[in-house]
Amino acid sequence: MSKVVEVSPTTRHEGHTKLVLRVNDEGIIERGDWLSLTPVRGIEKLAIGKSMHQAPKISSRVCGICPIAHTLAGIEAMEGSIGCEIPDDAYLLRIILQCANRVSSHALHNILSLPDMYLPGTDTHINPFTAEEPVRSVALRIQRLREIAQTAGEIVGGEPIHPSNPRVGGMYKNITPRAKSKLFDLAKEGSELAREHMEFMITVFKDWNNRPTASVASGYEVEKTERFGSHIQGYMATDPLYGSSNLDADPKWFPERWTEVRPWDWYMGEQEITLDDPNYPNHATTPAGNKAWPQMEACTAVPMYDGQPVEVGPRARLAMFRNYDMKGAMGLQIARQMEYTDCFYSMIEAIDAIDTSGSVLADEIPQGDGSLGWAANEAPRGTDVHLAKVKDGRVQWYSLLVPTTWNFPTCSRALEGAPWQLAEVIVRAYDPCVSCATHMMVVDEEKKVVAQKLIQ
Amino acid sequence: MLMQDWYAEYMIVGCGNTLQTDDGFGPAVISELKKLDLPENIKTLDAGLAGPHYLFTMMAQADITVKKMVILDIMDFGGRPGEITRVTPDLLAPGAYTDPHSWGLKEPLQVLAERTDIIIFGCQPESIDISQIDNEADDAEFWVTESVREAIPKAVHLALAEVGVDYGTTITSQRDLHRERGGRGQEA
Repeated sequence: MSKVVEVSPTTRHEGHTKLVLRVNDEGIIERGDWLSLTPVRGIEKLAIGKSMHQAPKISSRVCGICPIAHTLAGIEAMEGSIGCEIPDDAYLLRIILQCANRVSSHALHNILSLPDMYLPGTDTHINPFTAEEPVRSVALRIQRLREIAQTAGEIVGGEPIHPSNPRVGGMYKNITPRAKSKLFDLAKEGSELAREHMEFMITVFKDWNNRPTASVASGYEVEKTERFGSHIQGYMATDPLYGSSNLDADPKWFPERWTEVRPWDWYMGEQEITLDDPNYPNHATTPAGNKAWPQMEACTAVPMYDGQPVEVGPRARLAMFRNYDMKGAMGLQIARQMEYTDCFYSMIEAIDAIDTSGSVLADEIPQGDGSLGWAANEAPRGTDVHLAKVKDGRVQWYSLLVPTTWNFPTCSRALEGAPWQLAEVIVRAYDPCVSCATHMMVVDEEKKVVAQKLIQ
Repeated sequence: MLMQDWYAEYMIVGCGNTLQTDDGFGPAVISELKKLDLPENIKTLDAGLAGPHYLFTMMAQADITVKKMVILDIMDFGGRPGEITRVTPDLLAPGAYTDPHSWGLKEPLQVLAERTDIIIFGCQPESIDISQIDNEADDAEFWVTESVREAIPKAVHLALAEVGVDYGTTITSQRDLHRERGGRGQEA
C-alpha cells in the first residue's frame, strides 16, 4: 500500500522547495511532486509602464544568483519587440558575459553537489570545506574558477553581480585593449583549470553512478535503482551557448508551442503524510499525521512545450546540439561539467574577435509599436525566456519563463522509480534556482488568465 | 582603481533588494560611492542579494588580502527610520547572512570575520514592501523612502571614514554615473 512522505525543506539549492512523494512498500517513488514555496516575484506587474531600459534592470533583481542571464534576456526581449539589431562587438561582449555567468554558476553548483558524492574509490562523502587533500585543492580550484568568471563578468559587465554595461541597443561601452588583454589571460588560465576540473568532477559522478548504494550527504545508505532520475519528457534548448530571439533569421524557440497550466491541474491533491523518518538528514521529513496539499501550495504555474513538460539546461543543450545521450541524474551532472571547457573556448574566441575601437551601440534605437518580442537566453540552468511588448519606449507587457519553472514538472517525473531517500540528489542535479521561478500569472490552455496571486 | 581582481584591500559592499523599497538602501549607497574618485585600494560593490554566495563564502575560502569590509544594509534595531547603527558580525542575530543554499557555511560572515575586519552599518527601514517604482524616471534604480534617502549621505561618510577616506562635509559627484556606468574595462 502506498505511503506519502514529505521532505521539507529541501536543501543545497537556491530558494524554498519541498518534495511530496507517494512511495510503495519498498520506499520507491510512484509519484513525486517537487514544488516551489518561494513567494511570487512580481516582475510582470512591476514592469508595466516602465521604460524598456528600466524593465531589464528590475528583472535582474528578482534573483541574486542569475542576474546576468535575466539582464541579457530582458534587454534582448525589448530589442526583439522594437526590432533593434545590435553591433557585432556588442554581441561579442554579451557572449563573454554569458560564458562568465555559466562558469560561475556551474562552479557554485559543484560545491552544492559534492556533499552527496563520494571520494572516488572510498566510502567517504566529500566535504568541500575540509582542509584535507585532495579535496582542499579541488575546493580552491572551484574558488579560482569562480573568481575568474566573476572578474571577467565585472570587466565586461561593469558590475560583477548586477551588470550595468548591457543596454537596449547594445552596450554602454566597449572594452579597452588593456582590458581585452586581461580578459584573455583570465580565460586562458580558466581553460586550463576547467579541463582538469571537468575530468575530476566527471570521475566523481561516474563513481556515484556505479555504486550499488548511496545516501544523501551523511545520511544512511539505501539501495539505488536502475536509471536513477530518468524521465521520458523532451528537451528544450535554443543554442549550445547563447540563445535565440525573434530577430534571428532562423529562431529556435516558438511562443505558440508554449502553454501554461495551473498547479491545481497538475500537482497532487490533499495528501495525509503517512511516513516520516527522524533519521533522515536535517530531520527534514514532516511528521506523519500532517497534511500536504501540493496543488494549493505550489507557487509556480506549470509551463509546457508542445503540450508536455520539458527538461532545460546543460543536458538539453548537449542532447539537442551535440548528440549527448546519457540519461539519469548523473547524466545531467556530467553534461554540466562538459560545458566548462566550451565556455572558456567560446570566451577566448569572442575576446579574440572583438574590435576594441568598434561601436557597441546601435545607430538607431526604435521605440516600438507593441509587437511581441522574445529572447531565450541559455542561462546556466537552462532556457530563460523573456517576452515583452514595447510601445513608444514603454513596456506594455512582460513575462518570464525561467529555467527552474520549466524543470519543476520534468524533475517531478524524473523522481519516479527512485528510492525516496535519494530524491534530493535528483532535485540537485537540476541545479534549482527558485526565486525567479515563482511568478504570479496563471493561464489556461487558451492562454486566458484564470488565476492571479496578487502581491499584498 | 584597477579592477583586475575580485578583491581589494578595502571593500565597501551594499546588500539588499532594490525591489523592496528600503531594502535597496545598501545598493543605493554604493551607487553614490561609485560617483566618487576613490583610492585604488578601495572597491565598492553592489552585491544585491548575492553577498553570501558571490562574496562572503569566496572570501572565507580564498587566499585574500582583504583587510576590511564595510557592509551597508538595512537592519531592524528599533531605531527611527533612517537611523544608522554600527555593528560587528558577533552582534548579528544568527541567520542574518545565512547563505540561501544552506551549503554548510551557516554564518559566512562570522567565519570570514576571523580573517577580515568586518563592520556593518545598518539603517533602520521604514518599509520593505514591494517598491512603488516610479514609471517616469528612466534612470531611477532605487526607490527608498524619504527617511532612508536622507540617511544615504551620512552612510557614505561613515563608510568612507571606516576605510580612511575623508571627503569633507560636502561630497559632490565627480562623475555622471549614467554615462559612466559599465565598461569597467576602461580602467582595467
